[in-house]
Amino acid sequence: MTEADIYAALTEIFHDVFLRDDLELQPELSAKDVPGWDSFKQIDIILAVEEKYQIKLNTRELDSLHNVGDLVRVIADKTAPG
Amino acid sequence: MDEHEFVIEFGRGGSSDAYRRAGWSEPEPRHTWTIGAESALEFPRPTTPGTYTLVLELGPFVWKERLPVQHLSVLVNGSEVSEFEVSEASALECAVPWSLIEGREWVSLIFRHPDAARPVDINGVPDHRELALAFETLSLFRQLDGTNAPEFRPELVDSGAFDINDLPLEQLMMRFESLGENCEFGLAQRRCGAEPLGLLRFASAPLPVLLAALKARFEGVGDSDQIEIRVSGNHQEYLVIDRRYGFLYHPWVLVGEADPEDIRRREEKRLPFLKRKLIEDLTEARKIFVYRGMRRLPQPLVLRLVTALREYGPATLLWVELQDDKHPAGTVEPLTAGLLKGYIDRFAPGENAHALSLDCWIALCRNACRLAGALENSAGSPP
Repeated sequence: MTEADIYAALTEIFHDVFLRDDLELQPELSAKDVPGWDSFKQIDIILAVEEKYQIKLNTRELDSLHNVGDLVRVIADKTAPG
Repeated sequence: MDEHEFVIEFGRGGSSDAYRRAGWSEPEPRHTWTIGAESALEFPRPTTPGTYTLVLELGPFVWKERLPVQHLSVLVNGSEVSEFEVSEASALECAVPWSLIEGREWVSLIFRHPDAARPVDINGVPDHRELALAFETLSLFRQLDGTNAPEFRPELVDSGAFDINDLPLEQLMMRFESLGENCEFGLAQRRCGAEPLGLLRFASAPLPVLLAALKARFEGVGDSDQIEIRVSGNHQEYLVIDRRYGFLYHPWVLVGEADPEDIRRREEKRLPFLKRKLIEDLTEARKIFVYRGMRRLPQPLVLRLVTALREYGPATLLWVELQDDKHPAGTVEPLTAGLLKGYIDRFAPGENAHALSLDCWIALCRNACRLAGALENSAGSPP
């Protein structure tokens, strides 16, 4: 799976969570940039990611998420083969 | 019984059935009412000699000027140890000397409450029971002395190599996790731009409820049949009730904004996720857990909380109470291993947790970080 694949899947998730089709995901995009991105929305995003990729993020991984780029890296690490 | 503490929980499903004798009603979800002018308990005598502290968490049946207070006398094995006037929900403490209990296998407690009255006679509520006090918990602790007091671990004290004042507020507040009792600290974190994911961040979590859940490792939290969606008393927002333990959550959804069934479906996913995270956080103990009671908490009860937290990992608890003559607002002091006590100038009023003392919460967090050495941990902030 490439980073582009992950960004594409995350874009769909973000559109569903925020009910906005105009959100363009960039690595630096963070909660400060998106109105309404609070802890409740963060949980919705994480739950959708966990379901999509059949992974579970542990508390250290959750606490390390500062922006979309961090989330993409965590997903890539956890879905990497081997 | 346990060498250090003995607890009777009076909520339905609690342990009080084995110890209640005459003068009690049937247990209700969180408490059991006394019936008549006297009620009795019996429980096994502690095995370790020492002076014990008896803590009663209870609420009185009072009604305006007609019944402003309930008087309570506590007798241990026939000897009166204390008298109280109870006008609001309280945690009452009294000492129980070893000499009163050493001679018997069982401890006999008598509670005399001569102001017991029938609600139907006082305020017209169709309840014909003769009520005085609603007991939530009874705790008996052996008092700490020089031989059994746990030491504060100096290795947890920050070396001062990092200036906590340099830490951005958002990152500072992410190093803490609220355990309740209400959402005041969770809102203080939000005001600082910190949005940690926490099961109890926006919950009502009275100490007996929290202790029961910790003991059961939060089993059942998020189960479909344990979730109840209610409309708040002011009819403005929805509330999520955990039936198993009695937690109450704010889903932050106004009436009319969503269907209650949609909220339930969301909580069925959200709560198990947050439960999993809380247990991981408790186990890793990288964060400082914060608790403030809605009323003053006796230290023995807070020590019970520390003990319960430390069943998971080497947690540190910041217990916050109102300032006093010896402890100005912002002070944080280490009490025992895993327990810091902070003093705040004021709490937000119960009806508006948003009206909080932000500067003081921040000062408490900075001082707690200094004390606990939490800076070496790597908790970050959310996106």
